[in-house]
Amino acid sequence: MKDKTFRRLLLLVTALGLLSVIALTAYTWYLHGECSVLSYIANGG
Amino acid sequence: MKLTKQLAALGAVVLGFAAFDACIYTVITRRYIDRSSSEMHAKSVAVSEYLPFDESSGICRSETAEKLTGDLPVVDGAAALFPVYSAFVHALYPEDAVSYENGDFTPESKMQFHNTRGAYTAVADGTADVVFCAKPSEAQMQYAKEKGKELQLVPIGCEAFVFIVNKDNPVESLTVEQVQDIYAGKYQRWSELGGTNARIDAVQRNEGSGSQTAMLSFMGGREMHRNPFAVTGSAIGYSFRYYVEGLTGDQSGIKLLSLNGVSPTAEHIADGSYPASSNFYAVYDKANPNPNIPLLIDFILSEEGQRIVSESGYVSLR
Repeated sequence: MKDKTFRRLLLLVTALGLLSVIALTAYTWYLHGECSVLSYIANGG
Repeated sequence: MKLTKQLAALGAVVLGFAAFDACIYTVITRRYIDRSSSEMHAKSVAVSEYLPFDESSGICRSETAEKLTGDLPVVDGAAALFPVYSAFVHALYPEDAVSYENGDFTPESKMQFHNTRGAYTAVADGTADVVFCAKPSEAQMQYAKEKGKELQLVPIGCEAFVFIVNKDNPVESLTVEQVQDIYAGKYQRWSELGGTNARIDAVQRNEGSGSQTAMLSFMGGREMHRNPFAVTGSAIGYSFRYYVEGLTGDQSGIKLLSLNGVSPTAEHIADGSYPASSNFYAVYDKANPNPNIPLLIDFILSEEGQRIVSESGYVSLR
C-alpha cells in the first residue's frame, strides 16, 4: 500500500472512530436526561 | 512486510476505538437505559391504569359518598398521589366531570395531572382548585405569593421518604446522619459505610419535584454535592415509598434502605418509628370561594376518605 493511501485510510478510520465516540457520548447524554432514577439505580448505577 | 504493518496499524486504531466505545457503553451508557413503560417514562405514572371511571382501574373504590354538585373543584397533583386523588374523584364526582382523550385530560376535565411542579403552578395560577402533593418548596410558596395566593395545606396522609440502592449493594441500613453526610460529600466510597470499595454516586432529583423538596428538608440546611466522577460507582437515590413500591412496576433491581435500623414499612410510618416520615397534603388557595372545596376536604378527612388513603397503599392519619 502506498504511504499516501495508508495515511488517508488511517485518517478516515480515525475520523470514523472519533465520530462513533461523539455519537455514543451524545446518545448517553440524551439517555441521561430521560432515565428515571429508579431505572438508573436498578441498572447498576 | 510493510503492508502487514500498515494493516496492523489500521486494525489497532479500529480496535482501540471499539474497545473505548464498549467501555463507555458498559460503564455509563447502559445505566441510563430506562426500563419503564412508555407511559411511565413520559408521565412518571401509568395514568391510564388509575383513571377514576375505568372498569379496569387500579384505584380503591367507594360508592358510599354523596356526589358533589355545582361548581366542581379542578383537582391536580403529584405522580405518587395520582391513584389516591383519582379515588377521591371516583367517590365524589359525576363521571362526565372527567374527560381523558389521547393520553391526556382535556382542558375542560375537572381532573388534571401535571405532577408536583405543574400542580403547584396550576393552583397558584388559578387553573386548579385543589392539588395533592408533598410539601411545596420555598420557590413554589413564593410563586403562589407573587400570584396573590395564600396556600392552605391540609395533611391527608403520611408517607415515608425512602433511600434506594441497587439490590446488590451489601449496605442494608444507614443512619440519618450518614445519609446527610453522603449527600454533603463527606463519604466518597461505600466501604466507609460497610459496603464495597465502589464510589458513592449520590443522585439528586429535579428542582421543585416533591422528592427534591423533601430531600432539601431532610438535609436540614446542609448543602448537597455530587461527585461527577462517581458516575462509575454505585448510586443512592431517594423517593417516596409508595411511588417506588406501588406505582413503578417491576423494580427488582433496587432495594429500600432502613434508616436508623428501621425499615420503611406502613407499620413503622404509622407508629412514627421510621425517622423520615412526612405528611402529604391537599393544597388550595385560602381565598378560593368554591363551596365544594370544604366538602371535598371533609370527605378526605372522614373515616371513608381515610379508608381510601389507607387502601390505596398509603398511610392514613387515623
